Amino acid sequence: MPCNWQAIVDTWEASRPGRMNVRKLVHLAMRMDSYDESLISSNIFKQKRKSYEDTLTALAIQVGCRRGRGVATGSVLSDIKRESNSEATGIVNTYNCGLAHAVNAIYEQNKFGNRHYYAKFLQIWDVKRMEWKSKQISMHNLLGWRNRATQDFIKYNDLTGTTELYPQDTGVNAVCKHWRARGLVSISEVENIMDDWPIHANCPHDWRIFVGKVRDCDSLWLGRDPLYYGARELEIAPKTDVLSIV
Amino acid sequence: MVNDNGNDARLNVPELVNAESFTIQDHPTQEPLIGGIWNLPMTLFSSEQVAPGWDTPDRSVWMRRFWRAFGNDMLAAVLATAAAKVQTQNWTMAGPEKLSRYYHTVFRDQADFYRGWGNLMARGVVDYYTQDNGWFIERLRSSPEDLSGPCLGLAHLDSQRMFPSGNAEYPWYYHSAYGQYRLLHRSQVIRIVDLPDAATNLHDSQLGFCALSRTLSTAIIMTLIVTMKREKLSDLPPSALAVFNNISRKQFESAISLHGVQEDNKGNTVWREILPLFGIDPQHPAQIQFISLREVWEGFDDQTAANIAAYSFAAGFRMDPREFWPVSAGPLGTGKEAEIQHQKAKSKSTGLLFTELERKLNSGNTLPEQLLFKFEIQDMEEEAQRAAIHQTQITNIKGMQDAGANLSAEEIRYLLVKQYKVLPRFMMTPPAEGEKIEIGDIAYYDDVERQATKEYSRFGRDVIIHANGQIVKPIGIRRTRLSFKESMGEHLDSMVGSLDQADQDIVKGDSADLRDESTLDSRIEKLSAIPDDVWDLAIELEHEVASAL
Repeated sequence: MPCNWQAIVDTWEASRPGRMNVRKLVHLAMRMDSYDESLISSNIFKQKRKSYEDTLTALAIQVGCRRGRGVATGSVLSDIKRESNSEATGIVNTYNCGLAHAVNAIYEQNKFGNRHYYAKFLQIWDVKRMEWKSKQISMHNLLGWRNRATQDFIKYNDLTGTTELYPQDTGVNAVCKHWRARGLVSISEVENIMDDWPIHANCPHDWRIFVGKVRDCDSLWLGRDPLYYGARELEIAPKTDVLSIV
Repeated sequence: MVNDNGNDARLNVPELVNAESFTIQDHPTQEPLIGGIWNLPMTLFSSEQVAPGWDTPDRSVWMRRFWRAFGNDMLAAVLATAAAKVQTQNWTMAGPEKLSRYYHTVFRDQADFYRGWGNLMARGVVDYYTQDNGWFIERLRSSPEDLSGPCLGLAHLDSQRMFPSGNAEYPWYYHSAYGQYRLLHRSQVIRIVDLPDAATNLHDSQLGFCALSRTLSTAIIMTLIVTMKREKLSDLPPSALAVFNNISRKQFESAISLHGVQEDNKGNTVWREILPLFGIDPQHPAQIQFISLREVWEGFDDQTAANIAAYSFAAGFRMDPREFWPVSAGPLGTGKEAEIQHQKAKSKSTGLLFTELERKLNSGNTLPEQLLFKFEIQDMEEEAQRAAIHQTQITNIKGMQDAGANLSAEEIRYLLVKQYKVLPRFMMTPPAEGEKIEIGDIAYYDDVERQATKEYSRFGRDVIIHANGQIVKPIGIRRTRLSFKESMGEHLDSMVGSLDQADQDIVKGDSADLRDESTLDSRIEKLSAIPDDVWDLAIELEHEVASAL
């Protein structure tokens, strides 16, 4: 359940409704707004797209095709955009919620602190928070869309082989531990759940595939919409078929 | 004397109910005093205009009477100005809250047997400027025999009643209004002397040379000038010889007598008619010729004389003449020159007095060591000079760096704190990561270097109380740790570390991009740019809420 920072801010003025109090004033000045949200969204969109396209390019090389760079287009871009906007909203909300708690903590230390007092402490708080939060966001963007690209690459190129969760010897989550314990598994077994990773906060895992070389590099799917390739792509089994096999 | 509750019983005395029981002083009640307050030895030949010698015992009595004498308007004005400056000067009491509150009340309200701080200062300043013996203050303790307990109050001691004993431990006698002499321990007395004598003398008994002594000749001349003007302007006979020509004493006296009777009959007691005097011989008309004994010299100018007197008093009292006399033009009174004098005088006169008072009150015999009494003197000129010096010092450091000194941050910090004193001492050690020291009022407070001790911790956290009662609670030297999710950060780092090196580099680069594009600076600016009035309103509300709680 997302944090409701507005509710926290509202409690501050409960004793004197309608009058501007210090905490509310500070929060108003320091909170992230729609402008910040659009900046964040734009930034993580770029990161996700790059991750997706780089993964496609790398996988093409892995299957023996140096045909060019992977491209995210159409529905993939729409998905990336939708996810970026949604995550940016969440990031801003989480920030504003954390800010409310930070302002409260700083206020409790000194109820009559001046603007510079708040500015100094909040600057420290922000820098310190962003130091790890930005890493967390970046790792999520990198691995999330790497797994999605792997899944799409397998699906649209109709590849078979094995896969395993990487890196090894890490994992605090039960699901990650389970798949780590399984080691190499058939691609078809996990093809439809690959894009669930990262499945928890700070999850460092992505699926590495082991497939043979592709003979027809010209028809290798590298990110275009399936319709771009004509009837051949239409014959590719959709997810539902895979599920029925499982 | 700590009681079972852990409180110092003497410091918990709420007020000095029977103040007289703490002091060696006698205060006249309804009983008549033996001999009266002026029953002190007088030099037989002293007169109004001839001051007794500097080290004669009756000089102080003469001086105290003289400055109030007719004609000493300017001198009295100078004294009044000096007293007002000290009385109205704001001060602060800094230290543990309970102690600060207690001594703030003792100083402001209970000083001088409940006459208050202003009274104590005014009486003291008058003694300081008009008595060569100086200004005496008695430290009140639990009893006159208590020489080491906490000081519970301050009271003015009449300078004229203080006589040196010659004993280093008990250097002063107090001559009671009832004629008794009482010895005072050195810890019971605060004495501030203006320009003390350098000659060897009895212990702590060196006379000073007070401001009135330094301007005595000017004051006497001013009284004479005023007296002369009064005689000129009133119907009083001037100090002169009257030479009567062609009229006998008998004729004159009978004319006076007749005139008096006639005017009395008419009831003219104030506005009388002209006295007619008739000569008998037209060849020798009756004349009364006055030969004045009190004349001003040729070229005398009243305003110039007053200005010179004002400058003389200003020099004697180490004051700015503009504080008590409207000096506006002339070679000594141009705007710029007066401005310079003003700046210089500020640090001389009352500045000297404030410094002495602060030292005596903070000496340890008056206030507990954890308290700091301080006059709030703001000298813009001095601050500007200090800022300029700091600027030069910082430029020097830059110059050293440019010349290849290659100083580290710690070395520069050392120079700025220890050598140049540009930064306060507590910044010698940079704050640890995640910690920050707020530099505000505490910068001033830190200067005293009074560390909180366990002994005084029961008196509360440190505060600064202003003379007007305003309490400032510094947010302190106390370091604050913000509640970061340290564990989250550490865990994340280990997760990122498990990635391939290439992936780690990507995460590193991407996260740096995210941070770079953060709008933190603009939001901090927005916070700092909140208008003063809006912020003041919000703070006011916090005070309301705090007081309501």
